[in-house]
Amino acid sequence: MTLKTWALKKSIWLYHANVGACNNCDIEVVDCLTPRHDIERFGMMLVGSPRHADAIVVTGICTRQAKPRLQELYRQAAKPCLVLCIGACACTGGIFRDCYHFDGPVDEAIREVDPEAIIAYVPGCPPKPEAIIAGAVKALQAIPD
Amino acid sequence: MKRTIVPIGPFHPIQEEPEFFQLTVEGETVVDADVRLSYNHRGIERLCQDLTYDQIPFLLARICGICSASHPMAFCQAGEDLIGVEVPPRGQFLRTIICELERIHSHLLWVGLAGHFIGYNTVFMWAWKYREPILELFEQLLGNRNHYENFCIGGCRRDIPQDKLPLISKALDDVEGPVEMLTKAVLDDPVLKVRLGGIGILTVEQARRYCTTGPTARGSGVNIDVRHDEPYAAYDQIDWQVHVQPAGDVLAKAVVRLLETMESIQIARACIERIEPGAFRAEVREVPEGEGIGHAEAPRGETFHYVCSDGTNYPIRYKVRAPTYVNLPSFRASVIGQELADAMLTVAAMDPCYSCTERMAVVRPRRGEQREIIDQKTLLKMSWDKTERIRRNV
Amino acid sequence: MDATCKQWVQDLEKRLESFRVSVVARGSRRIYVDVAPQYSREANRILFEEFEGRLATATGMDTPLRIEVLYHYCLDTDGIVVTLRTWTDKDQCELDSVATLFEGANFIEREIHDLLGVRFRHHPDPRRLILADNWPEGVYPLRRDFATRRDRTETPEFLRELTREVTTP
Repeated sequence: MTLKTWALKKSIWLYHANVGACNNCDIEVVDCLTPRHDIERFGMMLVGSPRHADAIVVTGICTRQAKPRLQELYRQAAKPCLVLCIGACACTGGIFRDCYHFDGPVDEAIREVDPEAIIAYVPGCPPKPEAIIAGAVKALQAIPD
Repeated sequence: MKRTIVPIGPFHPIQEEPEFFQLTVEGETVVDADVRLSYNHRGIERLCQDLTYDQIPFLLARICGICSASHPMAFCQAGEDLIGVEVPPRGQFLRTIICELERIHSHLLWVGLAGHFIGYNTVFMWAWKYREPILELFEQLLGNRNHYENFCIGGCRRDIPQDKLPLISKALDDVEGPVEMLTKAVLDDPVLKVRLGGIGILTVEQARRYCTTGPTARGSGVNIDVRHDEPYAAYDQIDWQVHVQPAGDVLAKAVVRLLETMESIQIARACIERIEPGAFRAEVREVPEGEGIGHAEAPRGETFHYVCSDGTNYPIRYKVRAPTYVNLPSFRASVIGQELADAMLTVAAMDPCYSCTERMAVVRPRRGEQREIIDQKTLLKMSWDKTERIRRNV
Repeated sequence: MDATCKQWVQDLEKRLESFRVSVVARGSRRIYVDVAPQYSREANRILFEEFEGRLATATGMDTPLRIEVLYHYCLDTDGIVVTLRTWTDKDQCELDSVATLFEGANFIEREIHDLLGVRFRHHPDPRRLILADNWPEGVYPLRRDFATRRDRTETPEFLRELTREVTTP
């Protein structure tokens, strides 16, 4: 394992993007920061720019308006970069799958840019903060050493 | 004077939903504001036409994570207006309890975010910590921390058994102390009075012309509240009051929200005392042709729903209007003339929920073709720096 | 219909008499006023300024013969909702904008334009609001002829019978 990969796995920086969600998953993601769940003790924190991010946390169905921006975000993020799809909407489109503004799901949008992207799915509506943390930890194991 | 574009959005670490604000500034003063929606537009009205009246509440709960009781509540009002069914008393009290608990955790969320915007990160952590027990309570009683789909036309889907009501009382007792503490902190802190007072003012006339609702309107002196004006659920069976503040600035809106949270605790307590065992759901067999209108008071304001039925089990038209959709345009009125450091607070003061709505570039005019872009981190830092300056001078 | 509602109905009939409207109350808190499109703007002005109504929202609806726009006003002092229904034909599809009277109608009319294609004359800012930048022009999702993946523009008779059976408790 390189020093870089070791450092990444020890302290993963997350960038949060909402591409058309009801905001519940977003609140649960921010909830992970709060004292009850406190992901900062794992070295995880939210950052303000995709360029600093090791993982992009995506919620929402990926609307037509948001899709090009999501793809641009992914391009800007330094690789390797995990994509965590939080919630049923990000995983599959959920109950909004039949809507006319749906242009995802998120994994197809990301794979258009990078077919080798590492994508983790945390289903739920919304997934509990414990599930999100578990999902992030599991996804870390998928990063090649 | 130079004018610069400062984008706020569409993706921003603390602003949870995507929104694209564009502020035009001269020097440090905002002179214009524009907004681009669409990132969250999920075509819910079109989807409703393909769903039955039993399925629609599940979709509507997911319009917004934080108003996930208010939209189904307005739906029930619209459906009951269309069909003409009476909800049994137990159903009404249960609805009230759930709506008020939602108001408490929503306002606490807002207090936390507002605290973060001004640099009081401890307030952010505490407020979000104190809302956790309410979310856990919802999970225990109704199955989900949010999206507790418990409303249907005619009453509630599930009962909350009498022996579980003491759990709610306990949660209310536990949250009352922290809410009192936060309320006193805002009312008594001289730094906050200076930091939040006099900024982002929306006058009562502007509040009326923009047709704003909820704390955004009540914090500007407009005395409207759907729970009082057209009582639904059990709001006409208990004594409670509407809180209005005349000043119209961010402080007034913060005060309104905190006082409402205290009021919600009292309302929920009164419902627990008054609720009697019995039926909680009226039977609904047929949906007639016709129209129905329902509105409910969400934490952010009035949610307004309209349904048009052709007698089948699927509506031919379902209209949803979330509170932020009417409050958002008023941002333009309240931010013009403000300092750039206060822009984020002014946005926060109307408690925007873009997911409800559908779903910040700062412009400094160019010299030649040069455009200056200021990023969100800088905006947040400007706000924190201003708080620090005020703290040193007070 | 209770006394307060009856009073409002009478006041509305009197004030809007010259527009030859029909005013119907349904239940004790809902009043529906049908007003011809050429009078719609003035009727809206009267409701906003003289009756001090608050525009909650406006619903656009595609019906078989025409496109209807319903302006919903809340009379908060008495908890009554007055709906002004006006209409336009599908081809010309134009109405006078109410946004020139007060700012609250601005976003509301832009949304109806995006989703149904109604053009509001003299609207101060008729830009696209809620559909994506790359959404095709001239395609209106709430029109009856717009199909989504679940293609359902008519409800077949047998399905109506079936769902009645399933949903009756």
